[in-house]
Amino acid sequence: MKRKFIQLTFFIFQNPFIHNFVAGRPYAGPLKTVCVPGLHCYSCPAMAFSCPLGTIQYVIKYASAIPYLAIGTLMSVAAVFGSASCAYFCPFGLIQESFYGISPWKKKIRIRKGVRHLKWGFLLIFVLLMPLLDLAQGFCAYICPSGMLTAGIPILSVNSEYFSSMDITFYWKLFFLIAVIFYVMYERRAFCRYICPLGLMLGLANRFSFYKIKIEKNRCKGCDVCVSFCPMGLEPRKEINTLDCIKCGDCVDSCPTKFNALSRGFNAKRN
Amino acid sequence: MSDKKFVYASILLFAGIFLIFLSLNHDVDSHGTKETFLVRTNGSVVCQSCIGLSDANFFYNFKKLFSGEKEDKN
Repeated sequence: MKRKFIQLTFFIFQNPFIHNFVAGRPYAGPLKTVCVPGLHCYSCPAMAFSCPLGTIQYVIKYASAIPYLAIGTLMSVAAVFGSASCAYFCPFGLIQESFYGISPWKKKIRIRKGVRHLKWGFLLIFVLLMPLLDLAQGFCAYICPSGMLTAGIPILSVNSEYFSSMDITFYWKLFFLIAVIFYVMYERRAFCRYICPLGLMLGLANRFSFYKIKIEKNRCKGCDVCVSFCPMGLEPRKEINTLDCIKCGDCVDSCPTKFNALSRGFNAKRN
Repeated sequence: MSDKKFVYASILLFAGIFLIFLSLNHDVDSHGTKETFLVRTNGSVVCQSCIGLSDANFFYNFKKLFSGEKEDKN
């Protein structure tokens, strides 16, 4: 409940310009210079800040430069929180969890071991290689469901002048968005598990970031109650603070009080 | 071990902050365009890629890449 409140607060904090939906134009003020660690399209009319993934691709493709701002932001956030920002700050994480919450066909599924490495492909090919080769802003152009949901659909619904430019790319992204929405209603946070390059980049610092989940192995009885609560489908007993862990702390909350084997925070003992 | 992890996290944090400061003064082209200006400008307009409209010329770009054809960005 506390995490949902923080997610919602950040969602509202990042989207103060709701009135821009009427004109179908994004906010253009100085806050757009700031990158925030979450998958949320900077073309979303309500969005106040910039998306680090979009910024990385844009600076590489159009300026052929190293995107210091976005990388610096991600490194700073990763050092402090690791991928906990996926659990607490990411708007698309909240959107996925909301769809899963209302879903009539949700299942508790463990992360698929081989498929979890797909994220590397999306990062290397779509975020880095395609802009580097000057082909396209690959992830934004062909994959990002957040862009389609929060920018594409709202902007096109009020700006008919864009209709003439709609082609197969648009229909592909629309299809992909619908597929992602349906799939996250079945498998919790499936986009984060298998696709999101942002979570992957933040997760690289999970082992040593200041914010940690801690397990006291002598207290853990292996009841595996936490397994069914993990949004990423991990086995917290073995996989906390790994690349796929988003440090949401749902395992900490679910641990039976008589064991109390898990804890979280900045001062959790490093193991 | 724990001290080592603290050091890694501290180095990463300071390197990240350094890069953010660097981006404030970093020129991305010969005209002196600052990276922050580029990021702000890009975020302030409707990104064609994001809304699914651009890169219809992807195949053209792909062909260009392997044909050795060059285009002056400036």
